[in-house]
Amino acid sequence: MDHSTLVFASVFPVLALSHTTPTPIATPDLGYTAPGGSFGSPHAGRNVEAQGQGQHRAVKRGLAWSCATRFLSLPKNSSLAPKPQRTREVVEALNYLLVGEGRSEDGKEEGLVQWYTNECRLHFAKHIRAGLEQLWRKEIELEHSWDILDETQRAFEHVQGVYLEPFLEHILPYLQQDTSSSTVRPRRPTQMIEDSADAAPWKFRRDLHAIFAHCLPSQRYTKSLSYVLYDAGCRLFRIYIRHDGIQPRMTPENTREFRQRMTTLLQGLERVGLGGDSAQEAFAHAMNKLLDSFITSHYLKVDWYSKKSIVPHLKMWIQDGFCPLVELVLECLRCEQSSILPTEVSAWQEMALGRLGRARVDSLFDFVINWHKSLGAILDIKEYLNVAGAKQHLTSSFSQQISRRLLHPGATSTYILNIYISIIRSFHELEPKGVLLERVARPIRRYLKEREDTARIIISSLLTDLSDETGSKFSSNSELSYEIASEMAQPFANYGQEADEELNWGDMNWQPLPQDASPEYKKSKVEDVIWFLLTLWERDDFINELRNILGDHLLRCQDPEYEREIRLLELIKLRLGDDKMQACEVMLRDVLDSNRINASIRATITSSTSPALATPDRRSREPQTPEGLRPRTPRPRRPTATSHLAPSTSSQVQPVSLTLNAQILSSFFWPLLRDDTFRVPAQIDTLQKEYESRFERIKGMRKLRWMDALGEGSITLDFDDRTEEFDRLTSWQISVVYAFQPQPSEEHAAKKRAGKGGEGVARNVQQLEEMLEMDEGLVRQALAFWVGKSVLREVSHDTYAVIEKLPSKSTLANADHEAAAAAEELAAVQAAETNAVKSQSDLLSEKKDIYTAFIVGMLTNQGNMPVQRIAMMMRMMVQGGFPFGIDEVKGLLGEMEAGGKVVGLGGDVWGVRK
Amino acid sequence: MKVTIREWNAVAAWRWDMPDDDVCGICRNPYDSTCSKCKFPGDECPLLLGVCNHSFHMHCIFSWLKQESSQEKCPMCRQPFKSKSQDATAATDNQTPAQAPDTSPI
Repeated sequence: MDHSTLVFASVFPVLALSHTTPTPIATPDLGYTAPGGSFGSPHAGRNVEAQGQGQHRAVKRGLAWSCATRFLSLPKNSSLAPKPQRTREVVEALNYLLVGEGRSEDGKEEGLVQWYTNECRLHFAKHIRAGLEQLWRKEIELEHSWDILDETQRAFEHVQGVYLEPFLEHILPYLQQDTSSSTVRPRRPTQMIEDSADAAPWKFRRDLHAIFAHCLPSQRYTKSLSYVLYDAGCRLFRIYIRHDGIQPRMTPENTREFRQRMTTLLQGLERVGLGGDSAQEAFAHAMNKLLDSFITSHYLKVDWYSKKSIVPHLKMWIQDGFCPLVELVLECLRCEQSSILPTEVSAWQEMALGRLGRARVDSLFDFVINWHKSLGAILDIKEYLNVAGAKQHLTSSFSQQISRRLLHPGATSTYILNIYISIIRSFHELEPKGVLLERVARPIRRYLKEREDTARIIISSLLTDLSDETGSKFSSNSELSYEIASEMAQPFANYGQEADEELNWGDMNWQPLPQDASPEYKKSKVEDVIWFLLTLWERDDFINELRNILGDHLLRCQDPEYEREIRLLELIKLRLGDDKMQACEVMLRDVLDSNRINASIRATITSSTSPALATPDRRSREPQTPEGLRPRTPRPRRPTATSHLAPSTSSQVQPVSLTLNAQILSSFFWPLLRDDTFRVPAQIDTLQKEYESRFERIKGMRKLRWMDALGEGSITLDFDDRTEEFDRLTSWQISVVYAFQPQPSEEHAAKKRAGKGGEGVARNVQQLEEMLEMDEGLVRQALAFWVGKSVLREVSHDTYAVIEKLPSKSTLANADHEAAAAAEELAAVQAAETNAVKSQSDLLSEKKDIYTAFIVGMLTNQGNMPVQRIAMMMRMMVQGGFPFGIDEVKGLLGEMEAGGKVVGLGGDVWGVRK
Repeated sequence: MKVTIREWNAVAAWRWDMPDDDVCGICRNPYDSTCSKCKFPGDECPLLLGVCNHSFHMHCIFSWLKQESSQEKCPMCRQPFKSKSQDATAATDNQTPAQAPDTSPI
């Protein structure tokens, strides 16, 4: 014992330091006597009044002390060795020390109980502690925690038994005896229990437990216990996805047995004093994790079929599964409060709901994709939204998912649109007010707006008929969205009442805006998917786009009644208001009116029949109806009379009637249309002239301009060995093949050639260009088409001939076949690129010369300029406007630089090359 | 090979028989467009050519002529406005029975 410890002990009595070992019987060691002190303990004498009576008592006490301590001292090995019998001497000593005069007085002398406690402590430290420390020194592996805890608990229990037995047997009876006769001291009423006999065993136990608890590394103990409880919970609830990564056994365990084991352990731990705060803390940890595990393992599955929320079930589990377990454990640990309050249950339910919701939100995107099957999960999230902070979490998490999984260049616009629609629908279910939707959809809308093809996809999908060829049209990468089309197919609800609902004072169902709504929140009809799509853009932009697409669509449309188009236009007018829609309405009116004009012009033609031009209308054989009133087929796009023509012989005998149907457009309101010009077949040309003159006669002061490239027709080709029919070909395709007919001058030559190889008239590209005054590109496109149809064959470079007789020889046939396949592909690609409406890029390339000249002139006059300025000047100055941006200007400048006209001076500044 | 055309659907654009990029002197809209009140061009919003060779949308010039201050003069040249007679025939032409009733000028 070093000096400083001694100094410390002299001021603050430390029991461990002053502990006396029992004195042997033979040579009673009465300790040392300090001057003026007495026997007994080192400190015993210090505070005793140095009086005679005191002296005497001290001696007596010393004797009794040594006797009692000798009796009570613990054996070295902790087994319960039979104690020596209490002798009379011992009884007297005990009696004297515990209840008699030798009793310690208010801590001035060491009491026997204190001594015994100390003895236990020392004994424990000497003999037991080492073993336990050995057990707990290292990290406890998870699977051993049960065993170690068991073992520890057993060891403690045993030791506790050993320590308690002498105490209960030899000390307690005296104390109890004493209390029954003593009176309660009024001096310290509050702490009276400490002095009473009941308090003694409690205190002793507490001290013991403190010793036990002290010898274990507390954190490690808490962790192990927490794990054990978690494990128990997992097994009891048959959780199979666990935090610890342990795979559960396949065979279900006997939960009853297991519950028993857990209860025993807990009760045991509680008995040895390990069930205090730390155990409760461990328990709280365990239950926390257990809740998570349970939700992950049992509730993360989505019920794709019954589409029900699992929240009620979860709540039930909390109440009927989780709470009883908690109660059981609390009871085992003998907590002060062993029953669970209803508020706690609901708090736990909310907690569980929060966790479930968070887990669900993490995969919300998948649920949206799988809408409507994921309804159950969405309903779960809906419940979750009532939890505080849930909305923020949902918004941020979902936005993240969207930006990671949806808004990237890899996703097609159609896909994004489809997902957007799913989002609209599922969020409508989630929160009918639409605040969340608005928040979540903002990035999608912004992104969709940036994509060029969005408007086209939306509008063409809106115009698609669901019923025909559904399977082929809506493949994953197609330009049509099934979702939009089906949305369109739904009945036409009345969305007309656009009146400001906020000002409708009579509205008894008025509700204030949701408090979390953003300023631009509008009370939208959330379920109206089309409304969302149509409001993606500024109205003007959208209507412009609509005009282009509708124009193209109307020209291609096959339905003479234009039902879908009318419907779409009405729908858009309802939702976006009908101003600014003039162009679209005019276009629609044009195509509808064209039917009537056709009819009336045809009527004038038939009445003034000039046999050379118009052979009798074949419809005149049908029951005659007034032309203007014919409702369904005023202008059949598909020839109704194909059956008449099918047998080739009859078609040759009968003079084939040819009708010209025209669509008369109000060019001002249509988007810019293709106006490549070329020579249409002479026959058509005459008809067109005739039509034109009649039109001009009916509508005074008006001229017609034929847009040759937009026409289409159906033809029959008669070869030497076969007859083929083609419907709905473009005008230039017909014109090209028409040009392959032998000219009167060639008739003879063609006949001669027809003999070998089965080839008819041959023409090369240049000839065709001259004959038809057609663009080379168009000529080649048409040629590719006809090669694809096995009508033409490329006999030498750029020269094509008609295949009058299909080759029978296999090699030639194969070659033809291959060439046809290749050409067909080419033609298909090219056809996809041709549109009736001019695209921006067409426009740019068309006007390139003007623009280049303008730029050169401007740069020459005004010196070098940055690109922005050039673009700005062009927008202001170029005749007819300059609808392009800086990028196009840069492109133009690049081309001009390559052509040596301008030179880049760096930093976006350009100048004229000198 | 013989090509027989069975059917031909052509597309044509109509224009008023007026010089290009000229606008109605009153509403400043191109002739091919409508006056500011109409929706559909053509039959519903015809042009009217005066003897002074100034032409306007019919609705535009009518509403102009109705005003007191116009004194029935052409707004361009201040001569008394009279429509050319040929226009009258054209107008009657417009109302031939072949025309469906709803497209006739108002």
